[in-house]
Amino acid sequence: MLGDIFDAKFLRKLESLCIECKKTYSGTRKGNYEMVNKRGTSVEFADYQAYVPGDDFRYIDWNIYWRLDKLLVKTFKEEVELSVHILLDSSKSMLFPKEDKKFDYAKDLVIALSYIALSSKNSVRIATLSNGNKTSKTAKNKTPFFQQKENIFTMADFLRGLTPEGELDLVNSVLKYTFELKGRRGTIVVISDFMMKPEVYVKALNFLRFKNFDVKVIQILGANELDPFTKAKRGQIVDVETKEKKTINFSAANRKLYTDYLEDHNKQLRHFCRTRRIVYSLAKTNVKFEDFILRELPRIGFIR
Amino acid sequence: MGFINLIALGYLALISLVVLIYFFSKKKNVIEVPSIIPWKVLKEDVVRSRLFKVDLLFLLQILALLLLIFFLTRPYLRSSIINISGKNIILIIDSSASMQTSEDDGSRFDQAKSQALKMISNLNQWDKMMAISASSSSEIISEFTNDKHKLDKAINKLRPKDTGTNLEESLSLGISFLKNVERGEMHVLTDQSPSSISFTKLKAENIKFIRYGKNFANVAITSFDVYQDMFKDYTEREAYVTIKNYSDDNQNVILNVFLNSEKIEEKEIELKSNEQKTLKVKNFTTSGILKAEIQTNDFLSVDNTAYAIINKIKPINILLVSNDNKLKSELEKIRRSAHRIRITRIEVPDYAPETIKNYNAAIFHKFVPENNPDINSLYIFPSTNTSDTQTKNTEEGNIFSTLLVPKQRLVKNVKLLDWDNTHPTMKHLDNLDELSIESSLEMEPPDWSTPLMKIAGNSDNPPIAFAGKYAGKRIMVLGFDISDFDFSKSDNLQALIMTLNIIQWLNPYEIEGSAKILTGGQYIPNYNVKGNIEILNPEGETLKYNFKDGTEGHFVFNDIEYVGEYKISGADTEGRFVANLFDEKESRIEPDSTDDEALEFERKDAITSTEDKKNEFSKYLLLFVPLILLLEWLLYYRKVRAGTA
Repeated sequence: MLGDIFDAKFLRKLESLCIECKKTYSGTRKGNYEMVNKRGTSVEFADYQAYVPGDDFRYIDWNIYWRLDKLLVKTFKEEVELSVHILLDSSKSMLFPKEDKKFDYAKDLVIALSYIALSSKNSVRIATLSNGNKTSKTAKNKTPFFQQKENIFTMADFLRGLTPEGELDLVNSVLKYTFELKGRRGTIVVISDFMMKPEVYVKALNFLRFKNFDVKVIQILGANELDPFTKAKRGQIVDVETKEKKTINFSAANRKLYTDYLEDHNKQLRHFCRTRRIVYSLAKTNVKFEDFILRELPRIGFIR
Repeated sequence: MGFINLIALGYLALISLVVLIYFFSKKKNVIEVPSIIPWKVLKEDVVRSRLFKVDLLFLLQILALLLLIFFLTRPYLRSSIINISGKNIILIIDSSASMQTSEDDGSRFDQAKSQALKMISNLNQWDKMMAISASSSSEIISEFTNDKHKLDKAINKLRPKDTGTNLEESLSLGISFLKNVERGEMHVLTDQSPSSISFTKLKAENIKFIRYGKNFANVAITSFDVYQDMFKDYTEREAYVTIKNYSDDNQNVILNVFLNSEKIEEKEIELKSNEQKTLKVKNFTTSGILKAEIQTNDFLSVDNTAYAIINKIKPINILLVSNDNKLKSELEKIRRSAHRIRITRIEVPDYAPETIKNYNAAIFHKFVPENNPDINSLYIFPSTNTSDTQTKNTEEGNIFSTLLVPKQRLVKNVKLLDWDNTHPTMKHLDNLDELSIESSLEMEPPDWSTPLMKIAGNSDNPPIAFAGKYAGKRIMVLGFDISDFDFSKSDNLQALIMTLNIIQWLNPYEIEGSAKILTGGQYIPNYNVKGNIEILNPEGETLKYNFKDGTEGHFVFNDIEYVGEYKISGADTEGRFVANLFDEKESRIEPDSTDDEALEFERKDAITSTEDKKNEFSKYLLLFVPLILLLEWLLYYRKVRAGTA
């Protein structure tokens, strides 16, 4: 089962969408992804590119050469299969604050994106991000690549079997995932609360960029996480992952400090993504899921 | 510093309770967050940063708790108090009649008073004194006090009485106080010798007798009697004055007798040392106060005067309630010799309670009225029942007769065994046993009566005659019928005398002067006292007494302190009596030669003692607790407002 929100109407809407990818990758199967290919396996002309040594002489447009005295190579469009990697943060922090149900929101998001990708004849894989090497060997932390829409149920079952635990080691998790991937590039969607030091996500996301992935980031935060000061007046806070403790007075002054910090933290992440051509979106669990999928993500170019 | 209640330190365990409360209040506010990173910019709360960290609120709570525990341990500071304990002096001043004896420098009482005032002025500030006046009774005129003004006032107010001395009682009273005080001294200012008191009692205590009196020449009237009865006219009445010379020398004495302030007699006699003479005074013309006064060269005047009352001669109306005329005819024989007696006979059926209003006494012959007739009465043979034994039941018979004679039994051939010849009705009856009584009622006497005549056979048997006072009236009951006796026969002389005695006893006018009252004694009126009464004493002082309605009291007047006439007046009461000294002990003013040096007297001095005192101060500390609580509240309120609470 996919969940109550995934009714037929909503699924139909999802089927009309596809995940945007700004990079070109060669695919083995035909898909909805339009790849510009110099090799000209397609018949639909796409564009000209400057000749570089090694290009096939057959694609040089000699008419242009004679007219402009420039060697240009014709390129052709080709719709190929896109690999979509959805990396879901399954560390314990995704369970807290419990009232926000961040992980449930994230799982719905994964299903929706997977369904969109499968509907677009792309191959989709879900992998979990947690404490890297420390992950139990027996636990399955990723699915195979699926191409058929019917497989959405298998993916949903996989998601249902996940229990967030442990501490997130984003860098190592990403390294490990890409190492095991053996060169299958494509769009990689990282879903996490990104409650980590900037240098960690910078390192992890840059690594993905360097590996030529089309990186997309969805940061999930809950309303209580954004403003936890309404819950209590004082208390000792405990980091559910590191177990680090701190006694805090939930004063107005502290509230401002907290919200300012969080805003700044999110701004840094957003700025980093923007400057690195990474599509970034903040998913607040109190925002209606359908609105986020059908309005917010197309608006920012995540999907089209 | 010390603690009276160290056990209270156990409450210190409560501090751990406060700590636990703090600990648990911290534990319960644990909030799990996804990451601590955004929280790191916040400063750690100083209160909750550690598992347990004290803050000002906690300190104030602990301080309040410590103060309370400190209070419960009752801490004290030792301090030494220097006490100066003075002596306690009990002063007994003899204020009896003999102390009025004139000496060269005032009376003995004046000398004693001066001495007392001198002693008061010599008192140190830490000495205390108590003053007791000793006359016929003892009176504490001042409790232990170091207030000299108060003592002076009490002594100055004191006046000598015309009474005898009960010095022993005063000494006993003083000794009882002396035993309960430290550094006690008792000073007895008197003209009496300690030999008159139990020497053992005196020796055991620290008593000093200060004795007064050098002069001893005294002549006194030792008795003053008027012989009067209802059968004698004023001129037949006689008064006898006995005068005694207590001096060592012969004394010439002039006796003046006054009747209602009018001199009726003056006689001059010479008395040898310790000689006493009785002088007769007669030829009285009227009733009133008879005063005998002697003029002589002596030092005590209070015993030179004596008073007596000549009773007023009034006809006595006697109501005889009898169906039998025989008793009337016998009583008529008495009336013929004593003109003052008027006898009226009515038949029993004619008797009504209001009938007696015009009479002074009543004789009920073989009849007892249903209600108490409220008159001096004689009941003769108070039963018409001839059965041998009769027990009246209060529920069946009339109430008054049951009260008068609860039980009675008829006996024949009565032989008198004993009679109370001290009773006025039994006077001059030496051979009453010769009286031949054929039958009589044995009657159980009521509580208020005195048995007068008992018959032979069984001494435990009830009497055949009794008398007493019931509801303020004199009542006599005879179990035999005196009408059986013929008063004109010499054999029945005893019965005649008894009847005359009874009539005289029942006469209310004869009662007035009959009592011989001495100063220091008591006066008991022979009528019921009701409402407010006033008694004017010879010194002109009016003493007021109040008897509330319904409390018709048995009034006993005890304040007879002066020689002379006492006038009693009230709403429906008029009366008088006279009081005389007639006390040989007081008249014999010669100082006793017995030496009192055998009494050991130790003059006490004030002592200084140091006393360790524990001054508890915890109650003052307790005052800080509300202050701390207020401070705590203010601090908490401030924290709440700042959002840091």
